[in-house]
Amino acid sequence: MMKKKRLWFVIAMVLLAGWIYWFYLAKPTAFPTNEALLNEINRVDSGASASEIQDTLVLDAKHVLVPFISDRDDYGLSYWVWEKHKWRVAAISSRGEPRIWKIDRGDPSTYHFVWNIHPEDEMTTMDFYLLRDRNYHISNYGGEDQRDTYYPGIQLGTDVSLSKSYGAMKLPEEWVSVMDAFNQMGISNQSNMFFNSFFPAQYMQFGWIPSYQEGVELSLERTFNGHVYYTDVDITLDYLRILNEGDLEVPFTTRDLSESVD
Amino acid sequence: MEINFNFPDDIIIIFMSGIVWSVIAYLALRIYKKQIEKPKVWKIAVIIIVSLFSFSINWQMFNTLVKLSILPLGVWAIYVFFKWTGRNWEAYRRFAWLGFWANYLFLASTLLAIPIHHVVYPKDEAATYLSEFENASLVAVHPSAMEDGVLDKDRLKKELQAMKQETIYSDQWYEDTYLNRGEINEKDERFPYQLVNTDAAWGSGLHSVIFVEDDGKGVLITTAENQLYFRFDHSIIEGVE
Repeated sequence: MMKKKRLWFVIAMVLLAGWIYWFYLAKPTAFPTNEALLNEINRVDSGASASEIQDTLVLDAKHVLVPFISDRDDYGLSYWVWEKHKWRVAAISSRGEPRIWKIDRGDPSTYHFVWNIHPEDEMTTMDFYLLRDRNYHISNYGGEDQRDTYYPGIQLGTDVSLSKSYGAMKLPEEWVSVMDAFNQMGISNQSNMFFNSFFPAQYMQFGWIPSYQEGVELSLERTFNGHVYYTDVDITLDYLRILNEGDLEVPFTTRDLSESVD
Repeated sequence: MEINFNFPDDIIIIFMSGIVWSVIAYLALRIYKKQIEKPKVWKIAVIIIVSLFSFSINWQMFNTLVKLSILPLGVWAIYVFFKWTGRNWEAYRRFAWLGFWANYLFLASTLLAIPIHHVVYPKDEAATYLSEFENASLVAVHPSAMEDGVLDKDRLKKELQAMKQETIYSDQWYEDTYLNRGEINEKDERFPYQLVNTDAAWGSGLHSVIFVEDDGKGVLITTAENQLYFRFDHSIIEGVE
């Protein structure tokens, strides 16, 4: 009797271990063929009408970006995640307006800018920005006791020249260390510890500015106004605000120049 | 227990919780020796841990989360479970209550840790926040910064001894950037550099965001609770006077 009980226990443990291994620990299998990708995209989102896979961009072992072209000649993006022992599509955007894919929200080094710009829009470069508004805060504890906090304005930029319509790019290392410092500070703040993990770097926003060759008129007609179809696979895909030159600050004093002239 | 979550890298809290757990173990041993009935040790451990769960009132005191336990939910749950299953509650009763009252030992240790932390890690000294900067570097976080500004670590080490804390005029600084300008979007940031990959004093559990002033002679240190501003005589940015 006792022996039988023990046997069942062992079998249950082995099954549990096998299940955990299979669905959570096993290494990803080979990425699906282009044909399989097309079938899956069109099965999940019948409106996508994908007809040609352009490439598969491996962002890490479990995340792959697949740019595609549709029947309507739209340049779209599909986002693939290895989850529960299967390559699953997490989102399909019908057009490739630049977005930011936050693979792990708490770790900015996993963030990727992704895009698929329609060639007819004739864009040559994109400038990506990380922004945090300048601000200040005064708490008054009565009488003389006041506490000032000043938040410097942050404006970091980087540019990408487009050789292909599509692409994916990690955040520059410097941006990651800037954001990490904010996140670390937030994690050490106890009032937020139990429930929402709290990332102050979320107060930063990303934006972008398209730029064109001289003589080409600004047009994003074929890249904008797409829609994103989300499946039940969890993904953080954030919108990138399109910035005007007026949204950005430029230095007032050209101190560096005047000093080098002397 | 949860205190470890608060300050995962705060050595004082870790040390204090170690002491509290030793006291709990000692008290449990005393009960065990006095009792005629001797329950299994692992069962006692489980009972104590479950009994720690309580309904509590939490509030912030000196930027520390303080937890006042009121209702012994864990103890009640164990009591109900024992009665239902007809187990011998008497043998475990005192251990369960030890678990609940241990919440107050943790509360006392938290309250004691606050002044100790302030003495060991002085909150008004820049060196507390800027203890380790071997791998540190400057990032020009605003276009008004010098693009290739390099941190002069030796200079920073020297200035750290002589830094003076100054008043933060947050509203004035904010308005200055809007007054001193030409075209509508021409602005100079007062703190256009961020100092990254620095560490606060070992075991302090402090994390800060540090900005450097445009002349290289000031640092603005922001923690989750507080902000401090220090000035010094020589620029810590190579090439900026």
